[in-house]
Amino acid sequence: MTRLLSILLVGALCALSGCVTLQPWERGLLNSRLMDDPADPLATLADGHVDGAREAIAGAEGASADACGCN
Amino acid sequence: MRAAATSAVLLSLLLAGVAHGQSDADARVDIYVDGDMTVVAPAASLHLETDAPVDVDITWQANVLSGATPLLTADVISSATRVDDVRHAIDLGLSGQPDPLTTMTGNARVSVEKDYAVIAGTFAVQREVAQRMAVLSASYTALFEHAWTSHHDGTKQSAMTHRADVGSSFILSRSTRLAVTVSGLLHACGDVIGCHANPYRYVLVISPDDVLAVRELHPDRRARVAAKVKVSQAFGRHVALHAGYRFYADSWAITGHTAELDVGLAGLDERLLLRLGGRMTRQTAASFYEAKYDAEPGLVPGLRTGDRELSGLWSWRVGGRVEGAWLGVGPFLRVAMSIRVHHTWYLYPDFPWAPRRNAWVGGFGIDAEY
Repeated sequence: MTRLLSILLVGALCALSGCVTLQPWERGLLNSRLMDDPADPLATLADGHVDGAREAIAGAEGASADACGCN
Repeated sequence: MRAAATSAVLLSLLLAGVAHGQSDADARVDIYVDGDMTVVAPAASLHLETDAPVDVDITWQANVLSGATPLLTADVISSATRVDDVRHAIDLGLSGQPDPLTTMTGNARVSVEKDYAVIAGTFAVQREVAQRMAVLSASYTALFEHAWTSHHDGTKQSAMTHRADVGSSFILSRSTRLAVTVSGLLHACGDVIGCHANPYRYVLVISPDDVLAVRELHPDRRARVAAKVKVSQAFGRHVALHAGYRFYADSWAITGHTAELDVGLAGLDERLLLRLGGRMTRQTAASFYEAKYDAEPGLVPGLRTGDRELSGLWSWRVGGRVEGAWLGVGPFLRVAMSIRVHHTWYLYPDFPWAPRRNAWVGGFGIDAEY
């Protein structure tokens, strides 16, 4: 069962990424400020506080980490 | 603006003294204004990469709130009650890497107002997989709220929230990234705090003989789920598009859809950045929401709310942000200043007392990298 789940997980990741691996020097655009999301985390925190008070919707505000493989 | 500048200078001095590697200090102040409220919100954050095996993140936020909010009372349908409050929130986060692909983070938060406090703890793990083409992340947050009020015989109450998030971010190409996030929240609420409860809010009860204001009452549990998909796509080195959609549902029968779209423009080797964007939200009402209740006083529903934020609503937001950066300023690798402004229109079709709200936010920020 664990093996099946591992195969499914790897398969899903592979399908999403097209099984293409980028070298570090090919990831410059992904790591650019243009691709930062959010552009301003502190401002987004402030907006989230407003939205939490003005709407009844919460959760899934954003991904906790963006993939760039830049470390 | 002066608070942001002062915070930036203090943070920068601290940063210059202890940081190694790439550290970062942000300071900003935002002002929120709508028909009822004005909120001044200074904030500062510090990310320190030190010689120690852990990195440190410290964030401080404050909200200085003043204005008037509508209040239903027994003899007046809608009057205004004066609200003045100050909130301070401090986050302390420590993160470390047990191996080059895994990051573990612990975060503690304390938030205090004059009659309300929040303590929260978060533990998060993220791991790069598929030859660093994807990041998987998971986190759990326990949040404890406590309120004490001179209203209603000095009521003291506590509420608890458990929150779990799982997320993933995938590199699809040299210029495309996809992020998926799912959140689950479970609230155990009091009748005066948690789950949008408010000890100062009443519902209007209209019977053939009388008009009464009765305190609102929410369920004491609320389960919420939300899922979001977001795509970031660069078109060359000067233009990028960020598009997202979020679905939300909860056990109070509220469902929501949020769509957002940002366009980023870069010039002068990313020393000049412009971001223009919009956000739209549609929310249905809680199952027990009514603008007013037509009932005999003894037959008022056990669960009741007249809260505008729990009614059906639409909101539309448009705005922009511009940032200018300078490289190699004194001891800093990069110093950036930004201004932003956005406007939100709220429409409450089921809340006849105040069916519209217009809100402006303007802000100024400084960011220094060491």
